[in-house]
Amino acid sequence: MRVPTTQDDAALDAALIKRWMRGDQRAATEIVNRHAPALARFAASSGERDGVDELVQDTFVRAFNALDAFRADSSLRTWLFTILRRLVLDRQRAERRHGGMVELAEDHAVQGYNALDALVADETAARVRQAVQRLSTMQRDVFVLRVTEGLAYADIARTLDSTEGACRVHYHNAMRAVKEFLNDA
Amino acid sequence: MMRDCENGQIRDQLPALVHGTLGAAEGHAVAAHVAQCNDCQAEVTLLHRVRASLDAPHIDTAHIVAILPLPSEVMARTAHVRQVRQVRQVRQVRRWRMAAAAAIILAAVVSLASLRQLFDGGSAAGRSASAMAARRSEGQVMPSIVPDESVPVALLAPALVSASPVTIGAARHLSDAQLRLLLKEMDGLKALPCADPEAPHLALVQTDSSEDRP
Ligand SMILES: [Zn+2]
Repeated sequence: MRVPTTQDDAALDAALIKRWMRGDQRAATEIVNRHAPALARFAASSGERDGVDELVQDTFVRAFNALDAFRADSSLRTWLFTILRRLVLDRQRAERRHGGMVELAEDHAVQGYNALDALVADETAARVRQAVQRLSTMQRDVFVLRVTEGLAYADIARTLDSTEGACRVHYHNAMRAVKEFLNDA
Repeated sequence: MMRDCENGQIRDQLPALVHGTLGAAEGHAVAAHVAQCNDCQAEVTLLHRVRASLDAPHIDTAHIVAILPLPSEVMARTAHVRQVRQVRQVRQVRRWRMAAAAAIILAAVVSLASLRQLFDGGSAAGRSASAMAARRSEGQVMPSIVPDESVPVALLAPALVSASPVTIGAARHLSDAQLRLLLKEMDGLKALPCADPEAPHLALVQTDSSEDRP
C-alpha cells in the first residue's frame, strides 16, 4: 500500500472544499472527520483538555465561515492548526485576566491527564504525557506538531508564527527534555 | 538510558520517517541509518510511544457538522462584503476626483488672480508713485505678486476678483513699451529668491519705481 503524501492530502482537501462550495454537505462531514482528531490532540496537549470539544468546534466554525477565501498556499490542516492555536491563546489570555495563571492551566491539564490515566492505568503513556506537559508552551507546540502530526518545520513555523530555524531548535530541546524526564523516571 | 545519536541531520528526520512523509531517496537513507544505529532505533521507539500516548480525546464530529454554516450563507456573506468593499472604493475614487477638481479650480483662480494683479501692476507702472501710494492708502490690492503670507489666499482671492474689471480694462490698453516692461518684470520675478518672504516684496517695489521713470 502506498503511503499518502502531503500533496495527496492537499489535493483531497481542495476537492472536498470544492464539493462543499457546490452545496455537498457530505464534504463537510469528511473534512471534519479528517481533521478533528489531530485538532483535538493539539488542543489537549496545549493544556486545554477540558475545553477541547468547544475549541475544535469553534475552529471548524471559523474555518468554514472563511472557507471560500481559503487559498491552497498552505495546507488546510496547517490553516486549521493556526486558527485553533489563536483560539487557545485567546482562551489562556482570558484565563489570565480572570486571575488564573498559565502555569495553573498547565497544572490543571496535568491533573486532567492523571485522572484519565488512573482509569486507563497506562503508566508509560502517563509518563510521556507528563514529560510533554512539562515543556514550555513553544517547545510543546512544536514537539506535538512534529511528533504526533508529522508536520514539516515550515508548516509548524507558519502555524506558530515563528521561523523554521527556531522551531528546529525548540524540537531538539523538547526531545532532550522528554528523554531526560523519562530517564529520571 | 536514552542517548542522542551524533548524526543530527538524521535525528531531525526521524519524525518524518515515522509519519512516512520523507521522499523515496531520503526515506531509504534515513531507514538504512536507523537499521544500524541503536540510539536512533530507541528514538524512533520513543516517537511511536509519544504518538500513542497523546491520543485524541473523543470529539462529537456529527455535532460540529450540524452547527457549521451552509456554503450558500458563506458565499452570500462574502459577496456582500465584496460589494461593500467595491462601493467604498468607488466612493473613495469619487472623493479623490472631487478633491482634485477643487484643487485645480482653486489653483486656476489663484493664478488668474495673480496674472490680473500683474497686468494691473504693469499699467500702474505708467502712473506716478504718488498715485500708487494713494491706491495703497485706499486699501486696494498692490501690484506686488509676492504673496503676502499674513493674508490667507481664500481671503485675498475675492478681493482680486472684485478688482478684475478695472485691471482687465487697464491691461487691454497697455502700450508695447508697457508690455515689454511687464515681461521684464515677470522675468525678474522668476529670479527672485522665495525663501525670504520680505526680500522679493522690496525688490519688486524697487524695480517698479526705478523703471517707472522714463
Ligand atoms: Zn543514529
